[in-house]
Amino acid sequence: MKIVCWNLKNIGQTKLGNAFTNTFTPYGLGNNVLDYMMKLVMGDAAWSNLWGLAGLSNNPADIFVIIELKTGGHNKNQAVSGTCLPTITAITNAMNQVAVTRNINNNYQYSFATPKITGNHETVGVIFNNLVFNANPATISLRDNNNAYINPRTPFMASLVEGTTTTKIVGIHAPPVKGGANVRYRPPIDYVRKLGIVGELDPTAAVSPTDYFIMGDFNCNPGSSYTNGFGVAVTGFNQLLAWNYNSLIPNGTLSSVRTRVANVNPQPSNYLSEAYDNLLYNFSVAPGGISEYVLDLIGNARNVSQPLNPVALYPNNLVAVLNNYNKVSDHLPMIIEY
Amino acid sequence: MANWKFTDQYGSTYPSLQYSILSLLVFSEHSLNGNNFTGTLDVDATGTALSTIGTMLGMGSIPLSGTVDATGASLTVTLRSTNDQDFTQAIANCIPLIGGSITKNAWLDINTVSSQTDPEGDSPPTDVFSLGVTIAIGSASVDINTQVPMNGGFFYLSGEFTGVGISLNDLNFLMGPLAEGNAWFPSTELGPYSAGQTSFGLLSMSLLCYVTLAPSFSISINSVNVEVGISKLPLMGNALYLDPLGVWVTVTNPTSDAAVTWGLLGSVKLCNYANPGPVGLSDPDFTFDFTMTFPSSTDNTFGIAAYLENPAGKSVNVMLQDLMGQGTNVGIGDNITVNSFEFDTSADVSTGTINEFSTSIVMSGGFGLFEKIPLSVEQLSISVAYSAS
Repeated sequence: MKIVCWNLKNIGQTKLGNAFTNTFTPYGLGNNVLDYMMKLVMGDAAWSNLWGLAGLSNNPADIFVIIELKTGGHNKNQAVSGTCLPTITAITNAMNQVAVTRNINNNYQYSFATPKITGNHETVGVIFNNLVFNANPATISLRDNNNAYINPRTPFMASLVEGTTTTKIVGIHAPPVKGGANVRYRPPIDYVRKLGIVGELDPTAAVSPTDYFIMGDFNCNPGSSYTNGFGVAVTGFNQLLAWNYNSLIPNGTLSSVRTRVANVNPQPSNYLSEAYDNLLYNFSVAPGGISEYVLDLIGNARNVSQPLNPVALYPNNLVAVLNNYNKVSDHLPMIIEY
Repeated sequence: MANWKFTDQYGSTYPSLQYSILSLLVFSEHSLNGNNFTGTLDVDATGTALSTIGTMLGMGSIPLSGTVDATGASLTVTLRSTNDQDFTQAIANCIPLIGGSITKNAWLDINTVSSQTDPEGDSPPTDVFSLGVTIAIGSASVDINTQVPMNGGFFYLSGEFTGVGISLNDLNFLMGPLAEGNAWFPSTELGPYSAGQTSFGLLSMSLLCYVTLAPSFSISINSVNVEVGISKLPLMGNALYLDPLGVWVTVTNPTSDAAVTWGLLGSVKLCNYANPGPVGLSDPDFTFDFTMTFPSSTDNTFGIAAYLENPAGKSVNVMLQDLMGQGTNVGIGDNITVNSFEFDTSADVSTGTINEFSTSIVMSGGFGLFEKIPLSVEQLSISVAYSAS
């Protein structure tokens, strides 16, 4: 099973067609934003260097989670509108096109879970392999145990069912950091703490075999803290850790992408700036092997126009790679395979 | 004549040229007479940048002509292919749905502007390398284009149009099995809004194509998206316009297992008082976007969502002057600004009752109670929400 989660920075239908520069496009990583996404999500040979990481295969994703999927409206848990359904339909259809072309559609056919508004003009997209999971999964924008949504963007959950096992896919987008050094992580940390009072995320309350995945843009990491009014350091992940959520992404793994190269910094901080993205899991029965990464699509970008002789684009072409990556997103994708 | 690239002659003077399409394109022969340029692209010698389009077209060379202006601090290169007949035939042969007599013309465009002050390390701001296609839509013709694809995979052929009047039948050639009875268009759902309407404005079109290079070359149409409706409809003099009011329709897999999704959208635009009329619509002061969803067989809900955003932070006074004329002053402070306004509502058409309603307004500028207190109030927002469940 492979899950890819990607914050795609306000993705809408127009953005899918945005083309890359004429000198980047020949590298073979994609003609436009949609094409670029598909090559990563569907395990294309353009990223064969990533599929060589321990535990990763070149299989297409079984589940693709999109953070910052754009929609009209702002009423949480209500139906999406505007560009949202055409966008997720286009992405889903593109994944099916690739599966048909590669003649793997006997193993991979995709549908999307009905998105619900999570915050102002935003939702989470969940596309899944419907040959593995049942059709029409239940979806909901979650409330906490006080029956309140978590602001500004409440978590979104799709419950995918395979046989007797439910896989809860939860996409989140925490608020950004704000304020002075001692308190800048307060907004996202308080957000993550509230995840600990969302009943649907409590694995101890499961009444049937359930695997949980909480993923997305946390805008902080387990090592982040802020100092409260009593001088105490406050962290965010305590309850999730108490519930035995885990992540194999090392704490502090940079994942947010700079808009300009910081030449004075060593790799990868010359093109990455913060450790904001994470993918937490809790299995009802631990699988045999789990591999999980933040995929560095900038440092690992190659010119694959000659497939037998791919050439690394870092460091000589870093400016072009970074500028073109910014047309896709300001976050790197994450992957888990088990 | 030896192979030649623009960077051979101009690259040292215009450094950003090395990051443009002109650093990749190889000409087997060329001539420059004053500003007038003619040349022939060599597909094989160019390599990757032309290999996909060369395979699509079945061409080993592409003749171009145009102008090269190297005066001053910028190099401006504007070129167009000159073998339109061959291009047209080739495109008609390789792209489904728009083949045969539908494709009227096809060509290659190059437009690069390289300035000596361009930022280092990436392409010039203007660096166009596109394939253009004119297709017939009923009695009209429209141009759609794409940045030249250089990989196997997805590319979009798309365009936006004004003044293109069509009937629904005119688009049936794109809709595969849904063409029968114009099944791709939600006439039933729109009911009185489209009843008796025989002519529509074609506002935009997009074909999502998929190129397979190996083991054999092919192009398939993954989806077709069209937007039909009206544009530049005046609502109040030459200040306020509905631009557009449209129905978008997406048909996936039009050549096989066609499926359709659709929706209604529109924008109300308020022009700046100094730039009114249709010309001002390209840069309105305020845009109020709305979308509507209609009941379906699985959902009895009619919904409308709308939001106004004011990214430039223009004040309420500017809004009033745009509406009622320059110099209008009703005594509101110049710093009062509506940052955003939005509402959502949905109704169950089977019961005729409102299910959900919410609205919010965000204002800034310091006013009323908050103007004189020492707290720094950046914004004031008011939200109201109602739910029947």
